[in-house]
Amino acid sequence: MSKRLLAVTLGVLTAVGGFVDIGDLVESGVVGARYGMALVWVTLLGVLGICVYADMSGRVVAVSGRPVFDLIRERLGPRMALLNLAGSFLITLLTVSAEIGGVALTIELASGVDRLIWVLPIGVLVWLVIWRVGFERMETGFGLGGLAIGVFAVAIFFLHPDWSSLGAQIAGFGPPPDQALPTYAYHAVALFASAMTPYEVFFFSSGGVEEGWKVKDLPVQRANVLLGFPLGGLLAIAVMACAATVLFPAGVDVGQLSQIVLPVTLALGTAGLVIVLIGIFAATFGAALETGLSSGYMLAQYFGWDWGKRRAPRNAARFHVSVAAGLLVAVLVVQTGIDPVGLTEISLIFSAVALPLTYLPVLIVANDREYLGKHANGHFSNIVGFAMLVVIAVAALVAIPLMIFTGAGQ
Amino acid sequence: MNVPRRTRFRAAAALAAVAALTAGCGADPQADVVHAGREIRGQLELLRLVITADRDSVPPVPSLSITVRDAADELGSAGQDVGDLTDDRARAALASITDRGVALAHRLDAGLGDGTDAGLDEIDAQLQGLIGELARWGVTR
Repeated sequence: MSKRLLAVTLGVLTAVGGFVDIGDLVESGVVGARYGMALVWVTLLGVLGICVYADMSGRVVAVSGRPVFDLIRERLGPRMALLNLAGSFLITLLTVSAEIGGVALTIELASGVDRLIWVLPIGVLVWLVIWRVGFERMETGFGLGGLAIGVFAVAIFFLHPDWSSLGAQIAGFGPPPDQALPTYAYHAVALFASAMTPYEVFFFSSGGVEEGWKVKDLPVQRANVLLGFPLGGLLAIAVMACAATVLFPAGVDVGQLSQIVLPVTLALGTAGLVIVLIGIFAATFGAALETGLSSGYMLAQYFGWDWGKRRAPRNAARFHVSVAAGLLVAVLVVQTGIDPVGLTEISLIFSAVALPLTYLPVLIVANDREYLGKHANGHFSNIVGFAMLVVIAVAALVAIPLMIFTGAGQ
Repeated sequence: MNVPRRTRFRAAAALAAVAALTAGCGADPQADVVHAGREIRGQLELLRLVITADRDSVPPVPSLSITVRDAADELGSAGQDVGDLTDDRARAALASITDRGVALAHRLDAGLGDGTDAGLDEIDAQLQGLIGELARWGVTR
């Protein structure tokens, strides 16, 4: 295998394993148990959106050598960038908390020991990995570990589902007759936000700078996005399918991570459970690293500090301190005993509200020929990007009213 | 701010309509029973799924025990919704089903992962019995 093909394969696999985080796991499980496969179209829409915008971010980084947030500040001014920073930073802090809570829940499922015992050690471990482990090794290691979530895709075949029934649910689009439309819409918004969480763009573009992407790397990063993210989306759909096969017919309303992994235990026994817990651990721990770093990236890039994992802490002290402070806040939030699954749902809804603040500036910068020259958006990227922006705007507008009206999807 | 009278009237009418709709939704006793019963039924079905899983996995699996404890907690919070029901007979019946469901969850938790199927059939039968009782109150799914 040539070196380039190996790089592409490794990059795609890392993107697949890194796609699913606690938001995708929880929301795919929740909607699968409640609506069967009726909301698959939302996952597909979200994957399309993140592919289009990650591709734009990748081009911005490869051509300009600067992260997207840096250019947003320069192109749109400090006020617009501050709005972007405020929305995205707070959501990212909520997301770090949810991810750390997810890691703690996973260890509780494996050990039987209360999750609150694990929160502080997990926070310290996340900080140590960010501090000591190299960027590529960190991303690849946890990305590949996250591939173990693929056991959901294996489990679905062992559960012997009624494929025609699953197909009918997919084609049905709408909620089952006994479910209310506003609640269906609420979960559609949360599922959409789980695929397009704001930190993904910041991490992706800042990671591109950390890895030193150049224009010649564009085909590789495009392969990572256009193959890796859709395949990662399939993992989320596999989680949904398992819930749709086992929990939906039983009328189980998912409110716990333990319920989401139950179909795998039923299908594959203890071996399946061990694999899925490894996968969830890697996915949530990896996402905690990414979100933890993203909070530091955002602050440092807005205020113009030196930043990056490649820089020695003494040369990027404010960046490293802000990452550590973000992790500390997240640990304190989870340590209060707040339910991580509920926290995840809330973080997804508020993410939906902040989505336009993240993605509109990306679309504007990706159209700027001063920065991108011939690599600026073409007609196709603009049409799909604008269409997705309309969907994003609608999701942002209805998210809070739906949360209030449905009692957070109850 | 000088808001026109007609606008104020429309806003008040809209608020009254929303309030009436909300009150109307909450005033259907049978719908409330079905709503509260569904949550209970889902957790009872979940316990039955755990029984199926435990038969296949002989070694102790903490995750199954946690699933059962979570289900017991969810039944407990469903019991609080039951307390709000206006139909006295339904409230008493669903509260009894909830209590027995929680007791079965604790029995199941104690017997999980012991490598035998002892007692599982009996617990499963009792869970099915509770689900049948719920069906008599119109909670079929």
